[in-house]
Formats: sequence, C-alpha cells, structure tokens
Amino acid sequence: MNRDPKEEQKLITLCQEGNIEALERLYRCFSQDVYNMALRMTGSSDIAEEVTQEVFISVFKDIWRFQFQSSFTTWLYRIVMRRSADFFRKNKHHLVRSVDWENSDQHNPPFEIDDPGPNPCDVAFENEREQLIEYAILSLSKKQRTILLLRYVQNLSYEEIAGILRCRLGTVKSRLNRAHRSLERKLSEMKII
Amino acid sequence: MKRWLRRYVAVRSEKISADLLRRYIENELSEKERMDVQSRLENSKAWMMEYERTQKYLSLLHALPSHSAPDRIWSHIAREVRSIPPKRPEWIWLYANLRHVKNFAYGMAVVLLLILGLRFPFSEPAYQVVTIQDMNRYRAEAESFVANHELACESLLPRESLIAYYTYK
Repeated sequence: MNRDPKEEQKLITLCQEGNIEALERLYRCFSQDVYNMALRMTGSSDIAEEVTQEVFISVFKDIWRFQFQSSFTTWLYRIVMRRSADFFRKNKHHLVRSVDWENSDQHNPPFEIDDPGPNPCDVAFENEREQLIEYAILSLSKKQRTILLLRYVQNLSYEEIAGILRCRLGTVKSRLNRAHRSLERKLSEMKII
Repeated sequence: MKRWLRRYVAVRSEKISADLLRRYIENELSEKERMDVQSRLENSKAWMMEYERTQKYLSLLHALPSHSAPDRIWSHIAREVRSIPPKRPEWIWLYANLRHVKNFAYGMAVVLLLILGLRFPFSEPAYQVVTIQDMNRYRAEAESFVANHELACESLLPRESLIAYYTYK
C-alpha cells in the first residue's frame, strides 16, 4: 500500500475516534515492516506474530496519545522496540540458538519440478547463505541488531533512528559503526565475505 | 574536530578504513574526503579490494528478504480490538481538545496578572501601623522612663515622690 502522508493522517484521526476499519488499513500499510522487524529482533516467527499482534493492539489503545508531533513511523517503531524489549524481559532465559525461518520457504519455493528458473542447488545455497546472515544478525547484541535493522531493513535515516531510540545522532552513528564491525567480523568467520 | 583528525590520520597513514569506505559507498562523506578516498582507490590495490569487500557486505544487508505477515494476525487483532473498547476517558478527550487553546489560556493568565498587579499596587512601601493603644503604652512607658532616668540627679525623696505621682496619676 502506498504511504500518502495525508491519507495516513486521515487514517490516524479516524483510528483515534475508534474506527477499526482505519486500524485495518493502517495494519495493511505497516504490518510487513513491523513483522519483519519483530521477526529479526526475536528470531522466531511465532513470537514475531505475537509481537506484531501486540503492537497493533497497543496502537489502537494508545493512538489518542499520538499528537502528530513526530512521524507515525517513528511512534510505531518505538512501540515495536518496547514490545520486543518486553519479550526479552519476559524471556530472559530464552536463548536464540536456531533461526526459525518458516516463511522463507514461502518466498523461495526451493524445489518445483516445472520451474525452469534457477538451479535448485543454487537456491538451496542462497537460502542457506541468507539463513547464515540472519543468524549473524541475531547473534549481535540487542542494541547493535536494532540499529542495523532500522538502518538496512527498514531503510530509515539517521535522524529517524535517533528519534526512535531517543538518542543523539552521534550515538546512532557510533553504534552503527560498532554493529558493522561486529557483523563484518562474524560474516568473515562464516566465510560469507 | 577530534573525529575529523582521526579520519584524516587514517587516510594519510595508508590504513584502510572500512568505516570510511562504507561511508563513501553510502555517500556520507564530504567532497574533500570523497576525493581523498577516490584517489586512494585509484592508486592502491589493497584499498580497491577492501572497497569490493565492503560493497559486497553492504549489498548482502540491502538484499535481506522481506517477509510478509501471515493473514491470521489481523483476525487475532480484530477480535481483540472489538472486545476491548478504546481506552479514552472523557477527561483525556477534554485534555486533548484543551491543549489547542493552551497558548490562549497562558496569554489570558498573563493579562489577568497584569490587571491584578495594577489594581492592587503591591510595589508601594508598607507603612508602619501604630494603634492608639500602642501610642498610649509608649506614652506610659515614656513617663516611667522619664521618672526613672531623667530624675536620676534628684535626691531620693522627691524622686520617689515624683515617680509615685506619675505612676498613679
């Protein structure tokens, strides 16, 4: 769905009046970003579903607090961060050891007989490589992972990231540098780069 | 300044900086820094190799697949949202509307304070209020003081007589 600021503002206003259809349209607009962020933050599609669900319920409950002083995306991602943090707090004992990418099969159907496309071996190799990268991202610290995902998966600017994380621009840049260094080291160890 | 100096030293000392190359690829460097890195890339094979490595690394990050949220999530949300009415008490609604007239209210408060200030001139000095009773008390004390001190030079008898006279007058 195309994000038109005026349309977005209208939907938010309607949502503030308790309109569920407006919430559904907001959901259609942002669910993929929220789900992807939650998936990569938690490393499990089940938990990502739960987090996405909680995020949009929180949006509906607390949207009256939104006063159009920041962008809706910033406000929304702040909720995603909070809900993911809640998940980590509740599951301190939970160690992310394996990557559960159920959906990756849906997007890259690996073996179809009639498919004249890429070689199945290449597809399998590509899938494995993607999983390794995802695993490397998951093994970063929570702060480094968050900043890296906001920058490269959600394609947000430094200013927007600073707004979401409520920190200074310099902090964002230095933290991103550290995240890059850690990830590059991990990918080198895995012989990916 | 310190950061700029560090970067400058890194470039000058032939040290290959991955950070610098990443910023170069993402177009975040100033024109001067950009030219500097470009000349390094043209002249040094090591820099070029590091550049290719960084570019590959960044392309991996940008190429991360996007997963679409399963449809069942919305049905859960819709069910949940319908069962819980939006929490928005009346006073919060009132607050949400009143915040629009906040500046006007502040202005009115300032004007009201100015009017009150003019109406009740608090800045004038406060005069000491002396009651009649206080005046009388002072007078009585003055008489006793005079009797006790001013008549100190008199001999004892007339002094006491005078004190008695003024005290019981």
